[in-house]
Amino acid sequence: MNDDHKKIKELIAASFDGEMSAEEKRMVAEHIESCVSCRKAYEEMIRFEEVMNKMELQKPSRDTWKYYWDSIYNRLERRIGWILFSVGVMILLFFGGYKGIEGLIQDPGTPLLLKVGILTILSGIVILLVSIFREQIFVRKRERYKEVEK
Amino acid sequence: MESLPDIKTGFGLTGEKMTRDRNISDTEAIAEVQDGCREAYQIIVQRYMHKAYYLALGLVHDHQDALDLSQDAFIRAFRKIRKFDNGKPFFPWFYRVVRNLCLDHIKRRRVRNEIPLAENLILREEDRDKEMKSVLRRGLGQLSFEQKEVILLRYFQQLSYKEIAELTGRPLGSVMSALFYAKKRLRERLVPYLETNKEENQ
Repeated sequence: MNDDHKKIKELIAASFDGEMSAEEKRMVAEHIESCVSCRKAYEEMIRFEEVMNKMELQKPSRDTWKYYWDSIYNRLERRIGWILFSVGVMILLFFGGYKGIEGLIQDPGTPLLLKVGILTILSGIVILLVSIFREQIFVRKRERYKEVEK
Repeated sequence: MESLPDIKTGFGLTGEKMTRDRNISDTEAIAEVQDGCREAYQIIVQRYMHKAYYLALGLVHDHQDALDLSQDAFIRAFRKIRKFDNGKPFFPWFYRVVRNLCLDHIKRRRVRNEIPLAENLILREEDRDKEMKSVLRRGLGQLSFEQKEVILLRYFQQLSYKEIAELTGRPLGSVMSALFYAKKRLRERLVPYLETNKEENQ
């Protein structure tokens, strides 16, 4: 009997999603005529669906849709620009950094492992600096936009 | 297929060509994109941007994040478009891109249950009823990602079980089960409130 109630309650849930056959509808209708518990579940479900169907997500401003494609297009276009810019900045920073330690690197007395270590650290610093710079640009852009939305 | 906005600004297709191209199918537009016509992608973006944004908003609960993630999804899809089998429908494939980005975002930022849904969730006509909105917000916030996803697809996109199963790539039974338990959890929260409301109305 409990299985029947469980099955009927599952069918009731499905009925509100338009997923019940005519035969199942008949079975539910007959059952809730005589079963107080399932009829209560059915009535609860009616009210629940009313609430859920009134649910909406907040609409964004019209400008969101107006500039949506432009933003994507710009990002697609600018990707190669950012890559070239980042690589160029990294080369310049690396060159500048190398000039600062050129004497140490070219000194025959400096162990090879130390040279490799210093150059690796320099490369890491350059990549991190460029990465942080780019991140700051994007974060600033996003925060500014958030203020506009508010 | 959603209607396209009347306003067109900036780059891409304009004027007569835009109007004519609004009627072309996804398959035709994607074939053009796959042939290297970047502007044809505008048709796809404008056709699905609302769905993409609202799906992301429902999952991550933040306007700016939803906007960024939905746009990221279009960019990611564009970069993979040559690998897309144009014999299949575009949206289920694209939906998985949106979904995976949202899931990664939630894992990365750990925003689940931390960002309030209140600002993004409204009740049509009865927005005055703040208590119900609050109950719903808390209920939705406590659902798992999968449960929230099926609720969004069912109530915001009005999809059937079968359509949800196709979109998410999950078995029909799994979708039905997730929806059943999601609704049960929400109903448990709402029922005491609704009963009170009903008595008040009588």
